[in-house]
Amino acid sequence: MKNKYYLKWLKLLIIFFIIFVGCYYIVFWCSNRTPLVLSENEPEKLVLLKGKLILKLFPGPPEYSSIKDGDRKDYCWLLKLDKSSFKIAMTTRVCEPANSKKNIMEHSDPEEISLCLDDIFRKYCQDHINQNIECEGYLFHAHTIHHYTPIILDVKKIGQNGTLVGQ
Amino acid sequence: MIYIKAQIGPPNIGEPEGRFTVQYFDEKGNLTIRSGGTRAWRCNNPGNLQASPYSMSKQRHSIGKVREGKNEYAVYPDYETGHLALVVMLRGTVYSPLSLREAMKKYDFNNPMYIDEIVKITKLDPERTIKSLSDHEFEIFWKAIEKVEKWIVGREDFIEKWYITSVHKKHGVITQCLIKKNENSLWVSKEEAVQLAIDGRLHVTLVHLKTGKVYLRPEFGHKPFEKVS
Repeated sequence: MKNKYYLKWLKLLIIFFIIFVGCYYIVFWCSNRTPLVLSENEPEKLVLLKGKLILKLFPGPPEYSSIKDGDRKDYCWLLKLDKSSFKIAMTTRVCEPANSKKNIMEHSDPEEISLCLDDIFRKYCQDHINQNIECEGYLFHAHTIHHYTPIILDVKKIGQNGTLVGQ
Repeated sequence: MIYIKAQIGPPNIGEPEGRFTVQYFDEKGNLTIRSGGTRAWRCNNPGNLQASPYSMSKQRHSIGKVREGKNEYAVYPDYETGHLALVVMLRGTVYSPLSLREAMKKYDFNNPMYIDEIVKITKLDPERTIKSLSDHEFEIFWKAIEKVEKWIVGREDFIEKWYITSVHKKHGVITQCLIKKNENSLWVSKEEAVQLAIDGRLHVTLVHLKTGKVYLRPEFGHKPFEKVS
C-alpha cells in the first residue's frame, strides 16, 4: 500500500520534471532564435564595451573571398571583447535588421566586433593598436556584404581607463 | 520563369574557390546556374544584403541563402524582389532618419569614399536625410548604391529536367525509357536513365533495394509510365 503511494508520487514528480525541462528548452530555443530587435518606440541603448583593439585584414570587393585572387584589401578595426562586454553585446537589442543569438554564435569569432569609426577616431586607433581600450556607442548587427563581423559598434566615444574622448 | 529555391554551387573549373555559382530551381525542377558576373547578380541581390532574419523574412520573399566563408548572402528569385529588399531597408526606421553620409557609413564603414561616389553620381547634398528625399531623388539614390555595389551580368546555363513518358518492359522489368526532351523524345537504356536520375536531370523517384538493384518510379502525384511493350 505504502509502495503504491510512493510510486504514484514518483510518477508525478517525473512528469513534472519532464514538463519543466521541456519548457526550459523551449524558452531557451526560442530566445536563441528570436532576433535581438528593439520593440517599437524603444530607444537605442548606449553601451560601453571593453576589449583589445586589433586591426584585421579582410578580402573586400569584388568577391570578398580571397585577396590572393584579386580582392581588395579591407582593413577593419575590431574590438576583441572581454567576457562582461561580450555578454552586453550579446544581450543588447538593436534596431532592425537584427540577428538572433544563434546566427551570431555561428560566426567563428563572435567576440570580435567591428568598430564603425569617424575619421577623428582612426588616428586614436592607430596609436593604440593591440592595447586594451573602451568604446562607447550604439550597437547594430551585420546586414550588408561589407560587414565582416556579426556585431558592429557605431563608436561615439573612445578611450582608456575611464577617460573617454568623443565627438 | 519563377524560381522557388536557390542554393550554392561549386565554382567553375579554373575559377577561384570563392567565386561560387548559384543554382536556381523553378517549379518544374529545371535548373539554372549563374556563374561569373558579380555576387549581386549571381544572388539577385543588388544591395548585397547578408542573410539575416530581415533579409530572409517572409515579406522579403527570399528563396535561399548561400554561405561562403564566414558570411551568408540572401538569394532572391529576381532582381525586382532583391531590389525591394534594399529599398524597404533604406525606407525603414533605421536608415530613413539618417543623412546620406551617416547612412553610407553604416552601409559600408570600411570605405569612407563610398559617400563620395554616391554624391558624385547623384549630385545630392550628403547632409540631407533619406526621408527628406523626394521619390525621384530617392530613386537616383538607390540606383547609385546599386551602381557602386556593381551589377554585372555573367553566364546563365539552363538545364531542363526531363520526363519519362513511356517504357519498354521485359518480364515486368523496365529495359528502356522514352525521355521527353523539350519537343523531342529519345529512347535510352534503363542504366542511362538511372544515371540521368542520379544527376538530377529526370523527374523520377529512384528506389534502391538492399540487393543493390535500382528501380525507377514516377514521382509522387505523377502519372504511371506508359508501357509500350
